[in-house]
Amino acid sequence: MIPITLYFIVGAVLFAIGTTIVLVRRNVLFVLMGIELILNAASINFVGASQGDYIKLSGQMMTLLIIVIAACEAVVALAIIMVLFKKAGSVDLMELKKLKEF
Amino acid sequence: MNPLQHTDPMLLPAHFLHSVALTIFFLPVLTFVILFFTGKHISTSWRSWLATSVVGLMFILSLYVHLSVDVPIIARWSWFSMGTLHMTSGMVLSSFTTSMLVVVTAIALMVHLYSMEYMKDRRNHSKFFPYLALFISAMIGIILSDSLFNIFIFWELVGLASYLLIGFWYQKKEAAAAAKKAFLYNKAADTAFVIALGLIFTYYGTTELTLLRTLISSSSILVPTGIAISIAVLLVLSTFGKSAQFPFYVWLPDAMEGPTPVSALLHAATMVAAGILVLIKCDFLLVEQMRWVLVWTGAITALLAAIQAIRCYDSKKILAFSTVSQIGYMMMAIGTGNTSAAYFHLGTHAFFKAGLFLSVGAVIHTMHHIQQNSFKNKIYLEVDTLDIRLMGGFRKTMPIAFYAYVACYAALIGIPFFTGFLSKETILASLLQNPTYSIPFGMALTTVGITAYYMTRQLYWMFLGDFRLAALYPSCKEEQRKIKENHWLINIPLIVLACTTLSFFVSFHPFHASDIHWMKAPLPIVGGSTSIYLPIASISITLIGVLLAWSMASKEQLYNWKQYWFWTFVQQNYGIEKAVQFVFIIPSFLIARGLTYLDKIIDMWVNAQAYLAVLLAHIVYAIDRFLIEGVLKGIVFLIRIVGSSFRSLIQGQVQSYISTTLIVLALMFWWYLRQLH
Repeated sequence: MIPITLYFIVGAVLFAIGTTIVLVRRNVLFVLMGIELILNAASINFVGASQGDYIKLSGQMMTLLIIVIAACEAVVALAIIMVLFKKAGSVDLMELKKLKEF
Repeated sequence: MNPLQHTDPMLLPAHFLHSVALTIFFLPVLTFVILFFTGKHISTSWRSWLATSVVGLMFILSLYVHLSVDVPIIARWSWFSMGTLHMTSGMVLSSFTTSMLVVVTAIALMVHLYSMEYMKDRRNHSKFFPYLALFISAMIGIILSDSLFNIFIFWELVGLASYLLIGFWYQKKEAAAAAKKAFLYNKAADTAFVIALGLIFTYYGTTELTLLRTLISSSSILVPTGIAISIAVLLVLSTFGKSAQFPFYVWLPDAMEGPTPVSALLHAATMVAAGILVLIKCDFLLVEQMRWVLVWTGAITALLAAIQAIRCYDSKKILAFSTVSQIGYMMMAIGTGNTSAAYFHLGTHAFFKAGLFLSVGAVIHTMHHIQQNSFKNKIYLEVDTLDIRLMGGFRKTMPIAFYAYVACYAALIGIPFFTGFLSKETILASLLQNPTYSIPFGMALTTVGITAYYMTRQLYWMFLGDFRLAALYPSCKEEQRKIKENHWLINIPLIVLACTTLSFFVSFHPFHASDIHWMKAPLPIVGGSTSIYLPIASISITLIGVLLAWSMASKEQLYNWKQYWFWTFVQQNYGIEKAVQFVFIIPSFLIARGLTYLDKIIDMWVNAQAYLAVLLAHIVYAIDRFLIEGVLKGIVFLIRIVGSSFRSLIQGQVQSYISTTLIVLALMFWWYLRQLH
């Protein structure tokens, strides 16, 4: 039985790495990968938290759900990135400032 | 007493003759509508023949009605009702109205035949016959109506039609001005008619003349004497306008600007006859106090107009003045109470005055042709084709016009064996019967002489001597040789009208008019033969006038005669227009000017109020602008500052959004955790 704290430590580490990637990397593809890492951190936490729940397996079910959502999200995000690249000619986040109002 | 007591007149069924009379009335209405709206789409000859044949049919129907009527028959039908008020309109067929119908349609027929040729090439032809039809139908309405209210409507229509026809050549400034003048003088008089109508309806409760007659003769309604006199005064005043009496007559000489056939119709059958006709119909409303006013006005008008004709050179204006003068005789006859004499003179005058106008018109037509032909030869004669100074010598070149003129002339100046003599004698006799009217009688007798004078003068200058236009303009010599009789359409009416001036046409006794056979039921002619001296006196005065004119005319200086102040005064219509100017126009302008100043003062007050309001508005605007709006703007500015300061942190970068979100989340967690402990 792996102690639950370890799960949480791994989850926290993964979350930290993912967040850092999201915040630091300038390529959109890497940012997307960071987001995937954050999602995985969440899934590990769910799996860890549902320890001993053999009947319902709600943590594992949630993890499956998160994987599916992540896949969908990746698809959508990649599509957006492709369009973005076509439109803006770049995937560098420093150059994409369209959200700025003035 | 309580005024407004409306009497409901009894409705009376219409006889067959009434429908015939209504047909006579509606035929010209139909012509008017057809010709007015087809306008130039049908040819001139079609138009003329249509209008003329309709009038011919009307004449035949009128004759039929006149011959069939024995005793007066009245039809009365409901016109409209308003609440308890039931207005009726009636038609009366008596030997009086039907004989007038015959006279009017006969004159109208002659005028139509004449106009077919006379107006053929004239400008604006498409409007001529419809206007004539309107004129005639309105006049027939006046003749047949039994209700004074209806008579008033037709009375105004006559005014309208005369306005349209006098101003028929409205491109000419004088014609337009003359039409306006006639209209305004008539309207001024018509106002009196409206007031009289209102008074009659208020005090007697009805405007049906037959009912009014019985009401007054049975004196079942007592009306204050003042009101009765006012009604009489107002009625008489209104007829003074239409029948051109002093001081309203000044419109009539100016009305000669209209086409000559129109003048003939207007003077003989329609316009000026309307006033006399209404007075004859309303004779019972004329109180005793009003009679002498009629006699005196008639005498003054007759004399003044006759004097004006003496020094007149306009061939048509001379006839216009003679009409005014003759209508004065009719007024005198009504004043003496002898309405049948007035009616008799109206009838005879209608024929000979129409004849005079049409024969003078034939000469004018020729003169006009000479002017036109020389214009075609590139010589422009700037002459007045109506001026008798330029005429002369038409006796030989146009004998039919000449003899027609002479016959009508003889009737007008009162030569025995002509109609005018008989009717004039009757009027003079009825004047002589009343000793209080000796001065008007003297004036009337003087007028007989003056009439003979100016008519002889016109005859002399127009038809005798040499053709003076050719003497003045040698270029017309060629045209003079070409003068010939007019078209038969012009000559037939002349011949017919000349025949009607012979005395056997009205009475078989040449010196006595007790039996007027075409009136059928003989009207009671009072004093047909009071004394043998009266005809002798009037004939001798006439002869003196004729001889005087004959001897004077050849010596008259046509162009440079000495202008005495008296004749200047006469030619300016005795200053009637100036008096109107001083009495009515200048005071009204003064009042208007005063009111303008008053208005300006009121305006200033209103403007001051407006300025005050604007000032107040400006103050309110300033408060609104700087105080309220300033506060609002300040708030908005503050919010914007705060917002933009936060926004400047983010710079549109996704990653900085995320980091901000994370920091805020972390802070929230921190705060939440702190709360837990």
